[in-house]
Amino acid sequence: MNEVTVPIIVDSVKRSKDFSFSRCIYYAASMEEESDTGEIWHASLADLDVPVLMAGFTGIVTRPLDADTFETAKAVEETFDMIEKEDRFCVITMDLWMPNFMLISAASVEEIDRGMVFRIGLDLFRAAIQYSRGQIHQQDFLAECENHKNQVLYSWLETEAFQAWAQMQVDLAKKSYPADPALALEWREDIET
Amino acid sequence: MSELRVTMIDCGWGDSILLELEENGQVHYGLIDANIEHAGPSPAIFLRKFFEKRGVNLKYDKPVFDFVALTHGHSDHGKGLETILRRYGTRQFWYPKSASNTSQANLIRFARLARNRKHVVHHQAIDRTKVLPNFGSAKMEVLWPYYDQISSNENNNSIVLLLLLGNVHFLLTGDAEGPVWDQIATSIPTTTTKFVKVPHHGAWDATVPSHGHTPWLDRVPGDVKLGISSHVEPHPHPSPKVIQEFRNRNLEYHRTDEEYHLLFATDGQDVWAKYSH
Repeated sequence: MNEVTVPIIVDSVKRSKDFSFSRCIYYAASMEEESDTGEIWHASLADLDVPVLMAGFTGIVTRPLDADTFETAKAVEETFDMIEKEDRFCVITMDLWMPNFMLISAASVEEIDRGMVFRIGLDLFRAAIQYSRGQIHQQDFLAECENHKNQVLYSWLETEAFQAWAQMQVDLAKKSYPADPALALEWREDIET
Repeated sequence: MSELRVTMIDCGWGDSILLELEENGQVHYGLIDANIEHAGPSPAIFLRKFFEKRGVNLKYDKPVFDFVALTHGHSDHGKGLETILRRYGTRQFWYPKSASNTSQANLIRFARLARNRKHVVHHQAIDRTKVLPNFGSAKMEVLWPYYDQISSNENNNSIVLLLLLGNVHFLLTGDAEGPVWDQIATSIPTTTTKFVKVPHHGAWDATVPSHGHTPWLDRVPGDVKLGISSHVEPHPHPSPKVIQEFRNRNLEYHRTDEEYHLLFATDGQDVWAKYSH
């Protein structure tokens, strides 16, 4: 497997006869505007160091700053905070499709569940993106999957970390409720809880 | 006179529904779901052109939306909402509770951060126990989910909204499936529901639950207009059997994969549909 892997999180599992794939999300750092300070970025491509003026940017989140994997909810939150340190950057959600047989095999389970985190290698990630964007047909994508079967790993530690991070968002949202008391919704009087 | 317009934006996959309520020279905007794909039609492009035509100045007119709602935590309904919230802003951002929050966690994080207050003034999880503010003079009611009833099937956590303008109801259904309709179909007004966003892109089990009846379909009148957010790849929606069911009942339906952006409008008495293609 290539050194760089991308963490993907199962979002929705489709199990029909003709389509046995899971939609998985991943995170990206996005900048919509061009760098307004006119600063030049340097893109490294093989041996080339290419000076470019960034006009929009989408960078796939692969790991936290100081570790290979997201081991805790805090690591996820701190990474996203770091990305968004400048107001022009925002963490966004993106998605791709993965065949269920790859994920089932990697996790050694009978069924895939929503929220499971896998790490996939770059070759497989590229093929999944191409398929998800309609750039390659399903049969070509499945062929790529067969060729790169070893590029999927189930990451149980990151499954727990991202689930804890997700719960952290709900807990923090509840703690800061209401953001605007004037807009907080009232309870219906005709319905019992 | 008031006019409610509901545009089902063709986003290739998933849902994105723009609401407008125009009255007394003012326009209110709402948005339900978004799915911004890299390749293919994009609600981001639609909204940019839409608001440019209407002379909305993002420097002065933010927040543009009265409300933005995420019906449920699947990425084909929420992907891109961060971008839209940043660009246009909203007074209210609503979302459902979920058994597994990972897919919508980033949106909740975006909404709760103090630095994003300029993009999202207020946010909260909603269910049937909450009173929604009026959308202009249109009333909005949450039919589903019930309080603290959270399903392991994320589609069945979908927020189902019923809008009322004058004598006309519009029903917006998310991806709610059979078990939801078994519980709430009787809440659908039988004679006045004139538009339904067909649930779950026209999937069979969202219109015909396992027992074989058609709970929501049986409640709507014969002159209802149906909108289907449909797609062909990577697997097709709607189910041909659902389309056949609509044809058997002589119901008017429109689908985004054939007619692209779909507009359904009402003045509170009459309802009409327009489409791009």
